[in-house]
Formats: sequence, C-alpha cells, structure tokens
Amino acid sequence: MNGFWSLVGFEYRKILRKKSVVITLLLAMILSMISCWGTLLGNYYIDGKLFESHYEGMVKDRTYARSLAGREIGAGLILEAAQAYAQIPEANLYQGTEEYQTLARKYSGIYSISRAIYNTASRRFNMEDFQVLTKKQADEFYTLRRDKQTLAVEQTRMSDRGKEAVLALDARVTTPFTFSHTEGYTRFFTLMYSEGLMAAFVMAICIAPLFSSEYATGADQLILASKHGKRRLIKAKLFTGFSLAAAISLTLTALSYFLSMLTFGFEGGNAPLQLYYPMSPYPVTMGQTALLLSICIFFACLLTSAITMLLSAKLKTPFGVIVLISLLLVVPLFVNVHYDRIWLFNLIHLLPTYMMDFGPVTSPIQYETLGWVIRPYVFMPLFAAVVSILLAPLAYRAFKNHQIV
Amino acid sequence: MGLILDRVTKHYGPKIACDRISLTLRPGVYGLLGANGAGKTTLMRMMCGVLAPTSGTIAYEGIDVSHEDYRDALGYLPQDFGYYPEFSALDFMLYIATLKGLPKPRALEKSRELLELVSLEKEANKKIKTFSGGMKQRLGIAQAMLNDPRILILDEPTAGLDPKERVRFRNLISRLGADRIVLLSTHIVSDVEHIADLILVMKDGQLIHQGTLEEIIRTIQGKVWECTVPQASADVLCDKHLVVNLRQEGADVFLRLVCEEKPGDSAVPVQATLEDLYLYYFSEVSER
Repeated sequence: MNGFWSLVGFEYRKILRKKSVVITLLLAMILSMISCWGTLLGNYYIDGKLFESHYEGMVKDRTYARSLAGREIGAGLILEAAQAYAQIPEANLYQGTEEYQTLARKYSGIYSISRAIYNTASRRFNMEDFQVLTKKQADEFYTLRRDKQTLAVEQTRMSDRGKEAVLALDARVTTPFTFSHTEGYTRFFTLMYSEGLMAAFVMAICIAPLFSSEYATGADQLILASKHGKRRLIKAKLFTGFSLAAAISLTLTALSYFLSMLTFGFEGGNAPLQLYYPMSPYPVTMGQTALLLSICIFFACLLTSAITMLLSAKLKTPFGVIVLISLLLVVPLFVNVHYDRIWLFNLIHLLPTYMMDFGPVTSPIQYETLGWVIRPYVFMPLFAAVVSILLAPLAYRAFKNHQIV
Repeated sequence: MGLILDRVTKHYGPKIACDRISLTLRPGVYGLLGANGAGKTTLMRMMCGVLAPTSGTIAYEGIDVSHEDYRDALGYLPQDFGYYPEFSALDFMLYIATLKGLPKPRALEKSRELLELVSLEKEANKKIKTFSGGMKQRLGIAQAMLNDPRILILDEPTAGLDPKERVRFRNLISRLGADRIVLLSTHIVSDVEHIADLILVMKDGQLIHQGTLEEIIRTIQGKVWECTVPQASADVLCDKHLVVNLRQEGADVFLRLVCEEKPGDSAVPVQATLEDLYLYYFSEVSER
C-alpha cells in the first residue's frame, strides 16, 4: 500500500502545485466570506432617508428574536403579535412607521410563520389580515396547517402510499412549535446552494486535468508503460479525485457554517425546521436539516467529481472537461419542472445542482421505487453514491484502455 | 525465449501502419531504421503495451505485453512525452520510480545515481520547466532506466543531445546492451552504425531488412559510386540517379550516387555505408 499512498501524494502535488488551482481555492474562500457578509453591507433607506445599516438591522432583529426564544407559537403568542401589528397605522410602507419599529418588529418572525399557514390558494394573507386576526383563527393555527398540508399532499401525483407516508411524517412534527432565533441556520441554508455549486465548480477545475492532462502533455505514454500505470495509479487518481472533492466540499461547508453562525448567531439548532419552512412535513430540527443538506451537498460533489473524472478519462483536454461540467452545473438552473410531472420532477432533482438546493432536498415529493417510499434527502445522497460507484470503474477502464496513437 | 513478436499488425482504418511483423529479440542493441511514417513508433508503442495491435502477439519470456510483469521488465523513452513542469527533476524521477514499483529508499538512491549518470545531479532540485530540450531528453533517458529494465525501448533517444552527450549516450547504450534487449529508433544513422548489433529496416509498415551492419549494407554493395564531373553532366546525373552527396570542386562537381548500373565512365564503385542504404530506400519518402 506504500506505493499507493505515494502515488496519491504525487497526484495531490500535481494538482496543488498549479497556480490556477491555488488561485481558484483562495477565490472560493474569499467568495464564501463575501456571500456570507455581503448581505450585511449597505444601508436600508425609507423615503430616501437612511434608516439603518443592514448590519444594525440584523443585530436589532436578532435581539428581538432572542427575546421571544423559548416561547411556544400558540394562540397566545400569535394574538400578541397580531395585536402589536394592529397598532400600525395605514401607511404606504408600514415598515417605516414608528409603531412597527417599536411594537411590531419584534414579532416579525411570528408574522412570517403565520402568513405561510393563513395564506390560501385564493387569498394572500397580508399585514392587514394579520392586524384583524381573530382568536378563533389563532386557535385553529395548527388545525389549519394540518388541513392545508393534507390538501397539498392530496393534490400531488404521488401514490396513495407516498401521500400516506408524507402525512405520517407530518403527524410526527412536534406542535406547538417553540420559537427560536434561527437566522444563522436559515442563512446557512440559503448560502449553501451557491456554496455547493461553487464547491462543485472549484472541484471540477482541480480534478479536470487528473487524466486528461496526462493525454494533453503526453505523460500518458510513460504512465501506461510503467508497472503500476494501468492499475495502482488509476486507483490512486480516483482516490485523489474523490478525496479532493470531499475535502473541498467539507471545507467550504464548514467555512459557510461557522461564518453564518459567528455572524448571525449559533442558536436555533434544536428549533423545528418549520420555523423556516412552516409547511415542511419533516419532523427534523434546524440542526438536523443543516446536517442533511450538508450530506446531500457532499454527495452531490462526489457525484460531480465522478462525472468529472469520467469525462477527464474520456476527453483529450481539461478545458473540454471544465466546459462540460460547467454546463452540467449551470443549465439546470434554467430548468423548472412542475411536480405534476412527478417522474421528471424527481429525475431532474437528481442532478448535482438540485441536490445542493434546500428546496428539492426538503421537498415533500417522495421518491417511490420498488415499493419503497424514500425521502429526497435520503434518496439523493444514496443515488449520488451509487452512481459515483458505477462511474468510477468506467473512468478506470477509459484510462487503462487509452491508446497512444 | 527473449522478446517475441508474432505477426504483429496494426491498422488505422484502411491504412496499415505495421504489417505482420515477426521478430525475436535477444539481449543486444537493435537499431530500427525507417523514414517518417514507416511504422517505427507504432511498432515501439505496441511493444510497450501502450497501443494494442490489431492482430498478432508480443511476449517477453512468455509474458504477454498486456501483463503487469511485462511492464515491470520494460523501460521506455517515447519520442515526445510530457513532464510535469512544476516538478523538480528529482520529484519526477521519484514519481516514475513509484510507478515502476521501486520502494522509497531504493527509488531515491537509484534516482540520484541516474541523474548523475546523465549529468543532471546539480539540477536535481530545479523545476523541469527551467530545463533545455537536451536536459529534458537526458531526464527522459534516466527515467527509462530506473527499474533496471530487461527491455529498453528508446524512440529517438539522441534527439536534442549535443554531439558530446550523444557519444556518451551511445557508449552507455552499448554497455546496457550486453545483458538486455535495447531497441532504439533514430534518424541519426551514425548512432545506429556505431552501436547496433542488429539493424532492422522498416518501410511502409513492413520489416524489409534485418541483419548486422555488414549484412544490411551488402544489399547495396556495388551500387554506390563516386565521380567528379562537369556541371552539365552533374545535372543530368542528379536527374537520373539518387545522389547521396554533392560537392562543388572548382568548375566540376563531386557526386556520390546510388544506382544499379555504372553511371558514367569516370564513376568508381566505393564501399557502401548505412547512410547510403537509408537514402537508397527512403529518398522518395523524404521527397514526398
């Protein structure tokens, strides 16, 4: 095995000694920081006058949210919030009123969760509706949520079994929800989409030359004529590709996590996911969701690396590999499939780009195969792992059987 | 047993690059001669297992060319090959040594020894991207010998070397050929002339001659002529015959020709050389 690890070491040196790779990795880290802190730059203006900086706004909202942390979102808290909102006078922009700032802003998190429940297909629940919220509506908060969930699930094209599974999951969601400040986690969920795509792209740049640069430079002749060039070296290259993808994915995930938490607050890990996505049927906490999303992104990166390595072993130049991988990552951003076409919806969500998106990962639409109903955040990484395992031998064979012509 | 090629053929679509080549190579130095496109590199690549023959077999001591043990016995210097510009010469040698399965201490020892042999010991820690063409070629020669190969295949090994290095390298090859198979292809006829025990001549994918220098030259013995003639006669002779050498001597012209019949009254037969043979067989290919 000594030879194997030495070869892995050499492969890493080949990759990391390239200036382009070092620059790309540094840029990725800087972009991570910018995307996390970027939202705090700039100011909020009302009627052309400076109201507060985004950073001040975040600190203020965090303080308000922390003041409500630990309270159950039941009729009492909802009505308390509604009463505070009822103090806001009629205005073009209610956020600019003193009443909102002094009385209601504190409850903006509660209002946001309420809207998701009281919205109906025919009527959008707005601030004016919240101001006149009745006790009956507040009492029926969780019943309404449940009914709405049942209706939404019934309207999907999932099988009866799938629908039952989703409703059974939803029944396990603990109610009433306990409020918490979750900005760190919600920012992490949002950030991770762009971070995941960036990780996949960076990784593609690093891994694209793994096999193809040997062809492009002509080093393939020496390798394929050497004792371990057709077996051990290819295994070492595949290990390097997968391990580098894993390292890049984990580093950027960890960086985003700590930047989000340090900036917006660490608390909220035990809060229910429903504080962010009230209609989610999954009985998981924000912390668990962050872990599940990170796992999906990790496997999406591994799948991207497997595809990159296969293309690298098949194509003659790294440039062609990078172009194709970029298309694979970017084109799905412009494709939108409605869940009415459930097979296509589920299929397209198995592309790495979607596996990194909070929406598809926590979608209520289940994967149904061989009589099993599988949650997206379970099916996606499993699929990515299986496909990666299947693609690796194809890359292996492509390089092994490469002919020097 | 040795290295046995049995009816080795390679097609690229309708083009036949190597046509049923059968050979048995035993320890010694073999020089492969042929014009561009004769099939030399294709044959060497097949012998190194980096190109699969369309048909036929290649085996060393009964081990097929596709087997790891065959590659364990092989040292290969391709005609054009890639280096890793950011690697130092020593890094590169260690990398190839690892690919060849040398344990770490042995790899380091052997790498330093070979870098010294090709006069690169002072440049061992310099990046390859700073090397001249000749230095890269010497590094290529060194890497081919890392595993002390039983079969050494060298495609244009002296290209880019200065005359002093070429002579040194030729002597090294001669020594190596004492107990292993060394096959080298080159356009530099004098290299083959000096060191090859057996010369293989390829043309249009076929092995048209094989033998010692004397045996090979015998095929054009009596067909090489020299004469000194006036300019007008020289022009006529140049049109009619293959001219190996032409030199202006005052008002007259000295010619060395290869032709079946005596080209003129003043022409005298001379001892043929390998260069005459090369030009005799490949002049039309070169002119194309």
